Amino acid sequence: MTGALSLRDESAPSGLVVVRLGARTMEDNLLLRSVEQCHDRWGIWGFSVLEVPDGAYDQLARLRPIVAERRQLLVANASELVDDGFPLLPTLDSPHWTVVLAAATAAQFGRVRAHFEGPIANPSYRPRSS
Amino acid sequence: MSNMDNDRYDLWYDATTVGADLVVETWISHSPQASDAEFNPQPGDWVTVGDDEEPSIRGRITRRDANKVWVQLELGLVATDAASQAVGHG
Repeated sequence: MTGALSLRDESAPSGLVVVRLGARTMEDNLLLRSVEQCHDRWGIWGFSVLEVPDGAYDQLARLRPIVAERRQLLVANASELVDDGFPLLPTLDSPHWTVVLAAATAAQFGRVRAHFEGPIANPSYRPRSS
Repeated sequence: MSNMDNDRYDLWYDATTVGADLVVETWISHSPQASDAEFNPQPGDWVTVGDDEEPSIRGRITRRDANKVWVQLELGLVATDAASQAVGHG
């Protein structure tokens, strides 16, 4: 059973940059898992991205400590996603957004994947001391 | 080929979905243990989560609902021996 989709009262600001953590998380098989979880949760096809607040990766890492654990990121411009038919919903707590897909298909995955650049080196990565 | 291909873990996770509280939803059916009928993690158990990119991370199960398992990650600890620390591996 899906849960209620609750949205924050905010729209995507112009110039919004969003990231997915890791280098491989837009691959079809991994993206499908994420999209299935989103559909199970809210009844929509989509996947998670995180806003980079004012382009400050260190601020993102403070809001989401897991970010500092990742060496690489995939980066997209939110307005380009929206313009190509992939709405962004302000889900959960900031800086979390959901990119909405029309269906969980390889064609949709390929189209949305084309908007993500990288992987880039994560500016806020903090190597663990062993 | 990823250099993490040999990293063993119990549950796959999407790092982008980890919350500020370090809790993440995982699915047994998405994980390497999906075909292990004896894998039966319960709240309070320690498990390892991984994504085939970064070293697996230890975490404690906070909730389970059938196939879904919520894990609170312990970022201070990398699972150096995932097999020995996780449930289902003795």
